[in-house]
Amino acid sequence: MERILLYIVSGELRTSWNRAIELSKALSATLYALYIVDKEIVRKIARLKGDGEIDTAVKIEEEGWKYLYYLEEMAVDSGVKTALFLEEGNTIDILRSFVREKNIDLLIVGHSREQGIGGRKGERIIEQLVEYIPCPVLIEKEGGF
Amino acid sequence: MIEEFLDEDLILILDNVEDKFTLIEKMIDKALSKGIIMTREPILHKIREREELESTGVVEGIALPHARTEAVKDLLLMISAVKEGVDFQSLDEKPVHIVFLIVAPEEAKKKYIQVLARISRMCREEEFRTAIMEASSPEEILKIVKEFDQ
Repeated sequence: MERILLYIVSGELRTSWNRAIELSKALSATLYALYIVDKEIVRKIARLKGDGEIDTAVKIEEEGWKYLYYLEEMAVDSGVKTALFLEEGNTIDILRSFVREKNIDLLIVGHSREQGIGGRKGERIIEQLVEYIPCPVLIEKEGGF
Repeated sequence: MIEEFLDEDLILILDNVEDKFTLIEKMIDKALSKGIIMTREPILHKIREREELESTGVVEGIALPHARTEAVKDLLLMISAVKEGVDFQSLDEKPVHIVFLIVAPEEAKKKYIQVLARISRMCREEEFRTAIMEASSPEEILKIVKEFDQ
């Protein structure tokens, strides 16, 4: 196993971050970290907060980069080689093409009812990940279960 | 946020440079000559160590070499524009034309991450990258950074 992908949903889902770092270290794999600015989520947040979509996307993107760099710091402290990516678009479409293009061997994603991929939409995304992503998927349960 | 760490003395415009480590050395030497940092080798060592673990050449001609070390007292941010580009072993294998060097003390982790995130976000804007590449003076680059740093 050479390439492990951590799909970063939120900075709170640290169990999955730790798992991704541990596995990458144990297997001497490169840890790819991906944050997706999902346009549907941007639209919903902008509508809820009454902000413009562009401003909302900028805030979400910058937040995404912070998560990515926090992860990188943790990975570097463990001596794990990382590559950071931020993409915009539909979550499943991006994950599917990313896994194919980068020949990812394992996708890791954190899941909790409270944060990140949570609620009904989260359940749907998890189902779609398992169904459509062309590699093994490890869903890491976070606290709160 | 970015502008509070930048001034014209911390911006270099070069036609070409031998390789990425020579460029990083030039940047550190510039900061040293301006009295912004007091030591050279521990900072270079930390950056080299980081570059050897993973290239900080991202994509679209941008590189963000970065490291945390107690060899600096405050966050150091520098910019280099290299007209002919330099090989940074980037993920897309393209030469790098714009380099943001970020070095921070261990305790400034939060600010360091914020600066990295802001620069990464700005660098995804094609207009920003083009403007930096077309700039002919450090003063102009500083003005562009201020404009996009919102």
